[in-house]
Amino acid sequence: MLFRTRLHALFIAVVAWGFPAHAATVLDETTLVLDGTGETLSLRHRALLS
Amino acid sequence: MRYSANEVVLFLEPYSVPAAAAFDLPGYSWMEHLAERGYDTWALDFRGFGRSSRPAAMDLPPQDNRPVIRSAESMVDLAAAIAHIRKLRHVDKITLVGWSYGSVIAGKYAAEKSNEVGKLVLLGAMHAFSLPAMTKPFENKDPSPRRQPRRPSGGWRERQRRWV
Repeated sequence: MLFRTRLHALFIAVVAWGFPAHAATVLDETTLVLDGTGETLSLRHRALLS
Repeated sequence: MRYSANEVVLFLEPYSVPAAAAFDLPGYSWMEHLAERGYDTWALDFRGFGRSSRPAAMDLPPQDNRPVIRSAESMVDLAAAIAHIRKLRHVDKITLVGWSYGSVIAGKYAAEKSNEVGKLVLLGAMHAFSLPAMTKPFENKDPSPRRQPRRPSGGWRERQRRWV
């Protein structure tokens, strides 16, 4: 039982070390329409999830 | 979320590389790297590139028109993008990061409208140079068909259809 507990602790430590927490970011895209030409511009945006 | 002027960053793409591939490739994303650290990151596709629209001339053989996208058009595109971002974020200035062709437009814009650009980053900046291998075929004035560059069978849409 003790072994299993230590094994679990080791497993959790390895996982925690290998997968550091990343802040979640969110992606969205805006389309701008240019006056007069009708051309459209794609504007990509990425920022922290608020 | 409120950002200061220093925290709002607009990336400008190299010629022919979409902004998503240049700055937001999964696993190698510069936008993600900065966004995780609290920056508000944007990336523009100039007209004719990436997910922006294609001018009608791009559907025609290249010999039928002068170069379609030049710095004048890209400056208009950049002005529209900056105006949108400044209005949305309530900031006076933003940071520009230009790569290759993007560096040309970013530098030109910063020189002309320094009141809108807080910081300027030029990556692989282009400078004045001559590249005859790219331009000479289209400068051939000889009307003989044999002397003309080989005409592709159609514009980019047709070429895309052949590959997809």
